Amino acid sequence: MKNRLRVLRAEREWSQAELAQKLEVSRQSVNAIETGKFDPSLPLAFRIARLFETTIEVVFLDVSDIPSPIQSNHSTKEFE
Amino acid sequence: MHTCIKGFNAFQLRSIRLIEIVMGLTVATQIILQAILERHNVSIAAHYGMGALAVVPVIASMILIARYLSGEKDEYLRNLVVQSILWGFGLALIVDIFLSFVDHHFFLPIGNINMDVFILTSSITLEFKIQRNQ
Repeated sequence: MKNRLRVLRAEREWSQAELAQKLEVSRQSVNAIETGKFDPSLPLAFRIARLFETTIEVVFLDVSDIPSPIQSNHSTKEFE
Repeated sequence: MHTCIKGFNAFQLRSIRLIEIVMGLTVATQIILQAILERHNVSIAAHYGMGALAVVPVIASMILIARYLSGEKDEYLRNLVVQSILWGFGLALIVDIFLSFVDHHFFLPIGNINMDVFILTSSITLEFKIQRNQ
């Protein structure tokens, strides 16, 4: 699952260690989530969203929801 | 296992130390009991007693690991520990099955090395997985 954690963290100028401290997880966890190696559980996802004062959908993006270039071209033609 | 200890909290450190101690005891117990069995003629009852004694630290390890996993709040780390344990079990099983076919060709008796393989594999896997994600 893709996510915007790195972007959101950079906007607030927090280091991985600072974010880890705020979320009460290890720095390795933050790194693993940011790099997409680990998908957090729903409670942790909620905690992350709450910390950034946003919704889960803003932080995490389901890859299947992102249209591929072919699909988007197709849909554009259909729209035209 | 000690090299990956940096940044761990008190609960994690205590659990890791306890697990290390009990696993060390498991290996020591196995070595001592096997040495006694090889050098002395012990009765059948003593065989059963020693067998029961050998599994006590293994049961203690299982309890400690279960306590650690239920108390670990960091789900990523918990995930890594579970993966490492599975690698440990897998490799111990592979080595055990392989040696059961070939051990009579060795000059020296290998004995039961399941726990040693399990501890080594789990520790190395955990260390590798943590280092890989630094």
